[in-house]
Amino acid sequence: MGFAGAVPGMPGAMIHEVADLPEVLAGAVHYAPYSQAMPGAFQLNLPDVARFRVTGGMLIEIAALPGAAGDDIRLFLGGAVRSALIHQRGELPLHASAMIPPGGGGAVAIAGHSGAGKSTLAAELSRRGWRLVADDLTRITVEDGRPMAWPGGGAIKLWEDACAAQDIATGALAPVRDGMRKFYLPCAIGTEPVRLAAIAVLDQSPGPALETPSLGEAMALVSQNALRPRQIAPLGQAAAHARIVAAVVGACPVRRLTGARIAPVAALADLLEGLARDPVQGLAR
Amino acid sequence: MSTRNLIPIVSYPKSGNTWTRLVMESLWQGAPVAINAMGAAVYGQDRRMLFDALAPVAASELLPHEVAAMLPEVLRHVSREAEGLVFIKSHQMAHGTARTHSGDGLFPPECVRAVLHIVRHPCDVAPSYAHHLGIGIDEAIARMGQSLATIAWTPRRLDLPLGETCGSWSEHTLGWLDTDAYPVLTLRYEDLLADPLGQFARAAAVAGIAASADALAEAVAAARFDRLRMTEAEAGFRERPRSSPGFFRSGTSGGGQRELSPAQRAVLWRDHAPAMRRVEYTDLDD
Repeated sequence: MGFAGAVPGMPGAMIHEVADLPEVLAGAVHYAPYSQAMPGAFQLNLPDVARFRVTGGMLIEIAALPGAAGDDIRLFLGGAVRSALIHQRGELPLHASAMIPPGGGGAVAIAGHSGAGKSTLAAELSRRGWRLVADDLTRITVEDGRPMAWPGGGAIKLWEDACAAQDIATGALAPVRDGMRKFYLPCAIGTEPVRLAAIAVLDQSPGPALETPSLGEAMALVSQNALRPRQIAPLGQAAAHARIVAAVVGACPVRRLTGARIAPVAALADLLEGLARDPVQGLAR
Repeated sequence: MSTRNLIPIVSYPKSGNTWTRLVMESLWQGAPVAINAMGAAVYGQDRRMLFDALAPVAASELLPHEVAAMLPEVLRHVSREAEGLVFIKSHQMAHGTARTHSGDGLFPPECVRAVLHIVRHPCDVAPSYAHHLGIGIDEAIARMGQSLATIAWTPRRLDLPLGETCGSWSEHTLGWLDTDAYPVLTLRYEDLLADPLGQFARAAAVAGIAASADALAEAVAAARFDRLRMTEAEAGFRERPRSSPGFFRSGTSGGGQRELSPAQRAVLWRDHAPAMRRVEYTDLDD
């Protein structure tokens, strides 16, 4: 169905299309609906779509079921399958949009759960000349002690109301899916992995302000914003996950950005510009 | 372990769902539970977070019918993982129509111990719903008459609560009265107010909770409406939507009938008379 080949942005990882996959992953636990996992292997069985198996952090096998649409397979490849692959590699699939400020100097990851305002803030920063590294899911690796943010996709996904709030006309934008009023907003992108300079975790308590959590809180914030944390233990990656979280927090300031969804987007973006200018202090207004 | 441990508490909005849940949680815990310490009941934003943690793709990437198709499997998983009873707040209409976004039923029948169905007189629902949404009473009445009405399924934005199809007041009421997919105990809000000890004892019985008379009295006393309203005034209530000046408003029966104009009452009777008669509701003039 045209999925076979290298996994974009993940050197060495491959996708194979196969005729069939056994229903059961021997020795695995059913840790979530449709999902089985064990150290080194993950399987997702989606009725009417496909069976996906992810092995060793290097291989995704797809057995499409009769009548499955390519778009549906693509959708699930980007969800649990991709996060399982990243967790297997001992890397961090951060629920974050990452952007590079106009002056360069490393990416700022804006983390938070669905609806916290990651993409809206990314669109505002794009307007201010920032370049996009990745929207919604940012793969973080640690190279020689330095956390790196990896590029993924070339657009920000934005709901119609968020477009309207920022005076973005949606007429010419491609919808993310048929029947969904959520659009791809093209923007300037970076194509190389870039040093991660800071992580701002969106927080809906009153604000806006940048707050510095304690080291323990920072570790918890980063870990909680890993995508699909329930995959970690059954994949046997608890220790690897703890290691990468500690390495990221040790090398890169983590801030809580309060006022998410409440404060004007411009005010939140101002704070992130301050954070980008001075990540260690991060308190410039 | 697969077991019947889900207790959906279903109602049209502003019909006593939260009060019922508070009393039931207190009975289950064996001691009164504070409003802000109550479990999130797999409702609203909690349902989205749970879905995103368990489903193979985030709800924000899916269309409503796709979320609906996966929710029963998510709830099966919740049932399997739970140590005991799981109360689920819901305004979802019973299944039975193809367009409800609820597929073959939101709640997997083999996991459901019993459904508690709370009904409140629509003349009392209307002013409370208007207050809750920050809209006029006529608009609330129109919404109560809207077939297959949805809550929080806005196609143009991401609402944090996961959407539900509550239907019109009649669709909601008749659907739950007539479903044969689950054991359903229908309780009228008015009867809960008039005889809380007797009615909540029935609810505890179908939920399989052995509650002593003392425990029942304590749970009901702690959830008295004036106490809930006082707690909300002092400490707030985390489930209050921004549109609502106060979640706990009147907590009475019959007030709405006098608050509404004769014309407004007439619209509700025109729209809902068959369903209202089914639960033996009367008009002021009856």
